[in-house]
Amino acid sequence: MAETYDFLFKFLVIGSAGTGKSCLLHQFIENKFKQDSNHTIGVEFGSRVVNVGGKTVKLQIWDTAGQERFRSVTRSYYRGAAGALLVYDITSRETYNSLAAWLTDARTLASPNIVVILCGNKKDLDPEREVTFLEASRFAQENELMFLETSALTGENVEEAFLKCARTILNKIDSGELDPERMGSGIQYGDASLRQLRQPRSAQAVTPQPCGC
Amino acid sequence: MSGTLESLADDVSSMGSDSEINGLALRKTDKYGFLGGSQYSGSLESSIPVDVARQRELKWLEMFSNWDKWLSRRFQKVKLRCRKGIPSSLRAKAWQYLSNSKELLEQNPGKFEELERAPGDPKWLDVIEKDLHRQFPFHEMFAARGGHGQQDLYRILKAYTIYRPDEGYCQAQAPVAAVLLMHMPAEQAFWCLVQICDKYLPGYYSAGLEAIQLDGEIFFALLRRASPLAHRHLRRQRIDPVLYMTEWFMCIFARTLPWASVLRVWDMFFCEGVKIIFRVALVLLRHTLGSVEKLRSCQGMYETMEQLRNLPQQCMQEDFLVHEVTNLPVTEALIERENTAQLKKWRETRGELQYRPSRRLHGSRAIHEERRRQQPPLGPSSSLLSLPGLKSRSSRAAGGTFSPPPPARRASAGPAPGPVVTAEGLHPSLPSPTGNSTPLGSSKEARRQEKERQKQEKERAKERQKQEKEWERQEKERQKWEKEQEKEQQKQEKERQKQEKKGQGRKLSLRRKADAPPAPHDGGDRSSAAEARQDAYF
Repeated sequence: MAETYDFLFKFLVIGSAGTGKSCLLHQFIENKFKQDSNHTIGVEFGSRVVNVGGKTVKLQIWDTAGQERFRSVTRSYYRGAAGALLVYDITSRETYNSLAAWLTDARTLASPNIVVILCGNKKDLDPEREVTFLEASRFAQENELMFLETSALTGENVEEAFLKCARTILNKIDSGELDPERMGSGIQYGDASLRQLRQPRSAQAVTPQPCGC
Repeated sequence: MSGTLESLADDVSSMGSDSEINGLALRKTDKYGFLGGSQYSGSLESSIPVDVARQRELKWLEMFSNWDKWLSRRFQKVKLRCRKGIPSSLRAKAWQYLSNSKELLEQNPGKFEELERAPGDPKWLDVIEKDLHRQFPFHEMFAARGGHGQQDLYRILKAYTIYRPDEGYCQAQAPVAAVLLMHMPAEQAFWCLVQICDKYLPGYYSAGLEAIQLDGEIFFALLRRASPLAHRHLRRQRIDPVLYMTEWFMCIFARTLPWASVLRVWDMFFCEGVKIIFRVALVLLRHTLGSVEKLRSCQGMYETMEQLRNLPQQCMQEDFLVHEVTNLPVTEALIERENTAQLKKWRETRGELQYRPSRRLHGSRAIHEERRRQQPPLGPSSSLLSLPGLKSRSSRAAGGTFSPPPPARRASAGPAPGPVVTAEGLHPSLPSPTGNSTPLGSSKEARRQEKERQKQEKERAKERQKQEKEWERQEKERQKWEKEQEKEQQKQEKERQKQEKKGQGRKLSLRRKADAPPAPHDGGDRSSAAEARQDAYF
């Protein structure tokens, strides 16, 4: 409870079954590969405070069940997400083919402004690759996504994926493209100090302890 | 008697002589076969004295030898014995008797192998394969990649997709199948899984997962009665039931509770049906979010969710949990009533259900009654097996070709017209059982039994009405009390704010607040009073 941060972002990890969503999350939170894992039924989550561009940001990450029939249930936690990791498995074309559907879900159910990073996971299994880097990066470009190939096993690019997504959101806040105070933005202020920096906007907000700024 | 010996051996931690674990070979398993993980049971488990265990086994053996009689005439006793816990040596057999999967197996000899031999839809097989190593990875049976446990799991899950091609495979079926496999061979586990999916929890694993969402709504409505505080908290945080109950309900708590509790819950579930799932979930919520005290530590949505992912150990402990579950008066009738209400709401807001599952049967008695309606007493029940064509037809009927019966029937309201279409499928020459349930033939015995049954049902209906009235009365009282409580809380909140203002800037404010006479005492009393009140209410 005592941790302080400037912002809190809600993140989603989405993608087809067996692409390694939970392992990515686990690698990011615990810094190790989850060897014996259950598949996700419903929802899992984790959080971590990171430092991005001089700001501390708490990432609250919701990990979703991948099987198609769970979508109706997982929809209910898309609400108000600021960012998403859209995951496919580079050794499975099928998981790549369903990306468009996942993306539509994210943009319609979470927010049209949701910042999405495409993650081609299982990079360590390069010999079994079914989806080339080039192909996926083209898809990313066409859909205005960031793109990285990751490995939850080795940890390669895992942290980068989360950080890149967070950095983009921060930039958008700075440029005014994203308004944290809009309902359902998936962004919250961490503590009062930041609120005060933006005082003009929230004049009506009660700040009981003015600290002379 | 071998059963007794087995159960004794069961209670000693074994090395898992035939376990297939690479690398973990030296690790001891607990008495359930777990090598580690969150469901590993240390030596803390209480175990029943040998003579008690043995007595129970004898009682169960006696019941098995007269099963039909026990179910129809002494069901209360069966229920009680399930609540006490089925002896581990007889658990597999009891589950198959309770779910009646035993009969299904007998009626369909060779069916499982036939399903196994069929090629199967690669769409499902791919997903199943991906899940094989993800079921209870800490259990000795499933720890080894490609080991026996995983092979059997594949066989059952695949067979199910061929048996019910309209349903296919749902990821939540895998843990359920795995629990069954820990107790019985693949073929038996398969039929048991079929009964769970078809009779106990129809629609839970079907595309769209509407049944689970509907049960989420039913659960939330029941929570309002069981724990108004938890209900209000979740509503304010806008935490949909599906966010926390999906895994609980779909896996029948197999991934949530300590293993001893999982088994006790399953024992009761096989006997009493989905009601047990609702009750367990209600108990868990009551003890996680059911008091002002507990709510203090989960101010936000995320904290609340975290709390629900890390349930307090104490409330999951087997004896405590079973005791609480037994004492929670959430009846089948109540669930069905809520079902009707929520279904109506669903239709109003979301339109017609996409998928209409067959009628849910509340436990072994309902399954038994359905079976009896389908097989009017002609003498020894096994004689039906010799009817020509029954086998193939019955498997077809169970194969999902029947049209869905009207949904949301109140399961036990009045003499139900029954398992309409299935029955027709079984006995096409019979007069339609819809409307009246006159059994086959006009033998006196049959008529007498039928009368008896109707009488019983009437009595039960009366009983139910009485109960419902009682509920309503209590509901009114509860609302009154809730209002009072809310007022009280507002008052307290104001008080607290006032105090806070006063104490601002003072380091000691927090402690002072705790010392200040009115608020904390009030708070403490109120929460305990609230709990006492809830307990009295139930």
